[in-house]
Amino acid sequence: MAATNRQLVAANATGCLEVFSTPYPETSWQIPWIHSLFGNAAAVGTGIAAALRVQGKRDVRVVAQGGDGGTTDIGFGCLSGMFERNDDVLYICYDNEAYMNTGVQRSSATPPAARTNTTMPVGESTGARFGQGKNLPLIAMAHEIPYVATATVAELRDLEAKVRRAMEFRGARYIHVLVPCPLGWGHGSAETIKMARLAMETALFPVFEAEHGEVKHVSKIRRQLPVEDYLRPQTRFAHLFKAPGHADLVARIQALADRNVQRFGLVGDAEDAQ
Amino acid sequence: MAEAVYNAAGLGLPIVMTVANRAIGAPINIWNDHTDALSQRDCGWLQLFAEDNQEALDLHIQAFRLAEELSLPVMVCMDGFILTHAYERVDMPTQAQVDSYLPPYELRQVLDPADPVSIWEPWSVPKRSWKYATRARKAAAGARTHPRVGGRIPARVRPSQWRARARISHQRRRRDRRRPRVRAGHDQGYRRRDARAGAQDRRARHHVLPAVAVRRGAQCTAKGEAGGRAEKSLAVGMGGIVGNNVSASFSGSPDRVHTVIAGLGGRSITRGSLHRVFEQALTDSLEPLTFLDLDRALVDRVLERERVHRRSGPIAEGILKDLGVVAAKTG
Repeated sequence: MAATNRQLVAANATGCLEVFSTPYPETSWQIPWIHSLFGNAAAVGTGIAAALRVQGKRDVRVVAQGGDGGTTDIGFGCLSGMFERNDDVLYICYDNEAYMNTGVQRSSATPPAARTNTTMPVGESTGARFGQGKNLPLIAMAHEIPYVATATVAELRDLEAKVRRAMEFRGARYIHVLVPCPLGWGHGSAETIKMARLAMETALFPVFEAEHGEVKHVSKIRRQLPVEDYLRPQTRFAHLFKAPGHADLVARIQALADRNVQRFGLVGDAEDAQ
Repeated sequence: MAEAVYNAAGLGLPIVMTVANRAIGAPINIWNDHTDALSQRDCGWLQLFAEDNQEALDLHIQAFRLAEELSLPVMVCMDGFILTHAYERVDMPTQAQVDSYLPPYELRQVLDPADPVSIWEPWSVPKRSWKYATRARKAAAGARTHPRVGGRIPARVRPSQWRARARISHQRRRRDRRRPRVRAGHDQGYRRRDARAGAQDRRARHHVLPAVAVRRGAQCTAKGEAGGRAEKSLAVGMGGIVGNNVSASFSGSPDRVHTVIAGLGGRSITRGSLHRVFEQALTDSLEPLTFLDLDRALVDRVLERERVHRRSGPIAEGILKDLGVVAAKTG
């Protein structure tokens, strides 16, 4: 809001954010805000941007937002269209890695081996499968839109800076924010920030900025922590550590983190531009 | 996309959407019928069906007027591959004519940072309340467009201003006015079809009836006498979508009403076929629900096979097997 001098209109997908912020007849929004459907926040944002353009209101900016379900699954077609047309909308995805509002069901942002109510580790199943799911920041980059960034709730200053940076661009922009969910992940509420930080420090969630399809900046990790530090406190991964345990799966998750380190050049002393 | 169609009506958005009507697969079909739009008939939109390209132009302008006055989204349906691919010389109203008919739109809800509001459909508002309100709006649309019931909207478009035929609902001939006919204003938004009731009267000399009129999904009902309606849509298990709604709109349904399903999937409707249907209707040998030009023997063979062998698979495959045109593995 500060980045746009409060000249901002928001479109919201169905999800936790929408539900808890607008319990009828109350609303938490002090900016103009609209909810239409689960899957069309990007399209509604596009429409608002078009209307503002027709009215010549260039100073009023548009943000569309949704959870990982509304973004990576249900609203994916609308979002890809918004990217492809380079509509002047900032889309923010608050990713808690499953459909938490409806009772923890898997989404295409759920990480491998995670337990959800639709990926229960029973019988031979070991939670969500490996090799599935979508990496939305990379998909957004593949559209070569002006600006893509990832962030976590552990680094609010970083998130704030990225929103400001996003508002310096015109056209389609995308920010993907990792938001731990105590209910779905199975950790204490007080550990939310810690979990988000661990996701970054284990390199499971790379934090970076990209412009026009190129990575421009990564948040470096001084010392990469083992993924076990991140997995063990969460009950959604508890089956990996109970006897007899699944050391092989932990190793596969570690390999995913190591690949991120290599791919994004995550480990280093300073936050250098690439 | 069906959910978004409902949502637009619930939010009271005066959207005008052009629909190029096309058959829905499977089997895949790129030709025209009306099942696509009519499957969305309960979404809270008004549906107008254009007869030709001129009407398609007129209806769009009128649709904006209706949509904006009633906060009700409107579909202007054009037959895919018939109107969408036809070239026709059309009368264009001038900008001044359109402006005099279509006043500047005043937004009812605005997303303005200077005066922020939250717009959404609260769960707590009882569904029945706004469903009822939507119903009332559609009824109002009927009242405002039918020449016999106020006709407020078309009255503004006088021939001197525009063109005599630029009316949303109209009769074909003067004598039609003496005949019972389907009235506009019933709750399903079939005004284009309703308008043709007179023309489709069984006494309307079927040999002068242009095949194309029926092809557009026209219908007719003569109250108390044998009536018929032809349409290009089908609710599986229920018969014609238009026919069912027309029947439901009468307080006393005619005893002998025939529905003819024609032109599904772009199938040609020939004058010869229509003549046969009308002859059957006049001699009381027409079934209440008839599929025009259906190869009954073929379908019966397929159905008999399905009766004997369960798990019959795709219907189209079974029919093709019967025709022997492909090496079908099922059926």
